[in-house]
Amino acid sequence: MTQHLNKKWTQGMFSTEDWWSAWLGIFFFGLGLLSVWGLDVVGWIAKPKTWEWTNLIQDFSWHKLLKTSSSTYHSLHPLISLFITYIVFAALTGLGAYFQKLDIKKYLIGFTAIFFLTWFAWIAGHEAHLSAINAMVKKHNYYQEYNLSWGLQLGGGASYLLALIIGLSIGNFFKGFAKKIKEAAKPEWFIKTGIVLLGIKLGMMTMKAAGFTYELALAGAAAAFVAYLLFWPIVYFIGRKYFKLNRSSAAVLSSGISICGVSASIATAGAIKAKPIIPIAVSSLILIFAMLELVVLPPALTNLAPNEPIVNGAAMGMTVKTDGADAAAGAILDQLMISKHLKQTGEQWEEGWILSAALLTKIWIDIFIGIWSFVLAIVWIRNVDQKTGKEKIPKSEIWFRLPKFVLAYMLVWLIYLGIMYFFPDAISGAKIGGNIVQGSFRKLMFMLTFLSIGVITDFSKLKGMGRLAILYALALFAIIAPLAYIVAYLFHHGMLPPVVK
Amino acid sequence: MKQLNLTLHYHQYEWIVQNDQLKFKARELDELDAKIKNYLTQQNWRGQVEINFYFDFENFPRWMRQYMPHYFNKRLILNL
Repeated sequence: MTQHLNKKWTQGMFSTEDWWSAWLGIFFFGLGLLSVWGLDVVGWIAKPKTWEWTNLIQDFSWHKLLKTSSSTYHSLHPLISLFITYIVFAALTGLGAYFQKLDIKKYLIGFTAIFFLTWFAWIAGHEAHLSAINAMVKKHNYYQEYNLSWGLQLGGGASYLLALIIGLSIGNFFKGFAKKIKEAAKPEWFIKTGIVLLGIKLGMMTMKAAGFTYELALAGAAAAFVAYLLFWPIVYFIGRKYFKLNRSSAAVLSSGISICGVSASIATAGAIKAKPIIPIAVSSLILIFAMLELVVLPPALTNLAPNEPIVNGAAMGMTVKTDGADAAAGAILDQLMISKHLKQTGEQWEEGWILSAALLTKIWIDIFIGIWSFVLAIVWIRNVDQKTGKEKIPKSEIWFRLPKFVLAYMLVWLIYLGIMYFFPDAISGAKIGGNIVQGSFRKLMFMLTFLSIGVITDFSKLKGMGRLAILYALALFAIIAPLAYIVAYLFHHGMLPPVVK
Repeated sequence: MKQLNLTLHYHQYEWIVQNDQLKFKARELDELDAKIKNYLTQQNWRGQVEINFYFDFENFPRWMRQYMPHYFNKRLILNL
């Protein structure tokens, strides 16, 4: 049996999804940055176009469905562009899969299926009846250009929802197929890579509205800190007092529900040295509830509080567990709220700010988890564990539990800040490649996440979860969600995304 | 201070700690600590001993490792 031990601080740099999301994100970021020197090496990536089905049937052309991301490559046929996109992403993630010691044959088969199903959802979601909004968007009103008599007007949210529906259908109704492609269904890896690329967006947002971006980041940190102090003790108390859980189960479940889902439950269980079976059981529960939150919360918040986009985003970051589900929920919320606001007022909020609000609170929560686990480990050793000798907690535990993709996200942001402050002449050049990487590259990673998160979610696993599932549902919807909203409101009230001019 | 490095596993309700020469099993970690202490005493180890336990993360299902790649390492100091 191979071993997976963390002895040195460098361990895992080439063998974990977390590190590989940092490497891939930095690599794509670096490619995009070459535009500072006038090189466009990223514009070949395919992107979907808004289309209408009767128009397509009358005169079919792939050019109506897809295009390259920059005019440098406009002579490429859209299918060639899609094929290059597939080769690049299959090769780079395949390289990561090889170093992570995944079954490379299974991975590539699974990735191919996930990639093309993702693109099917992405293209289908751009059909005008699903996505077009009856307002001017980037000098177009596709709703009127295609003379639509009806439309769901979901904007980019239509593709996200479609990918999720396809993934969930595979995970729950085509389990044999799900098993075949599971090796490549890595929502956390894909989303963490996408989040690193979102660091570019944050950098660009800082260039545009530095004060607001810093305020958003600080408010996210404060809200996440308050949430930690409130949520964890409440859920732990209820678990112990009313559900009679033992200390270990109550602590692991409290972290899972109130902090950041699966990663928090593993980190906490490790800190208190619980038997691994506890976080494994709790993790299945977290994933299923995260999916419910992801489906329910974005439309609910869009309709309940349409004038509080940033509050809604931050509340989402504190409520929806796991980075993948949170980013997915944030992306859907971003699109739904922008579409609704545009429909109602004709004013278009800039894309990405609501999503960033959701992610910034989650990223702070992720950063705190290493420190929180360290504190918990000390409390447990001093107050709960039996002692044969003197036990010490290596400080390296904080490092091993720190999510490395967050470092890459911060690095990318800092490099953009550096360009802004020290090389202002390079800003316009940096934006050309940066826009493509944080646009088409990042959205592809998000779309892959949507589909894969559905593939690995099997609702039948809820069976036999009994009181753990009841406690989870109660804590989440009666305590965490309302409290998260109050905390988000206190720290983010009044913040609005900039308007597209 | 003498040092002992061990790999820790969890399998079928038991903690298992081992290196090339030693292997101990117990239901609870503290029992494991006690067994190691007894063994070292019997082997005439004296003075302060630092024992490092490195948890083998292969014990976790593959799909969970993308969320968190580390469980715990533990350092036990025994005065024998």
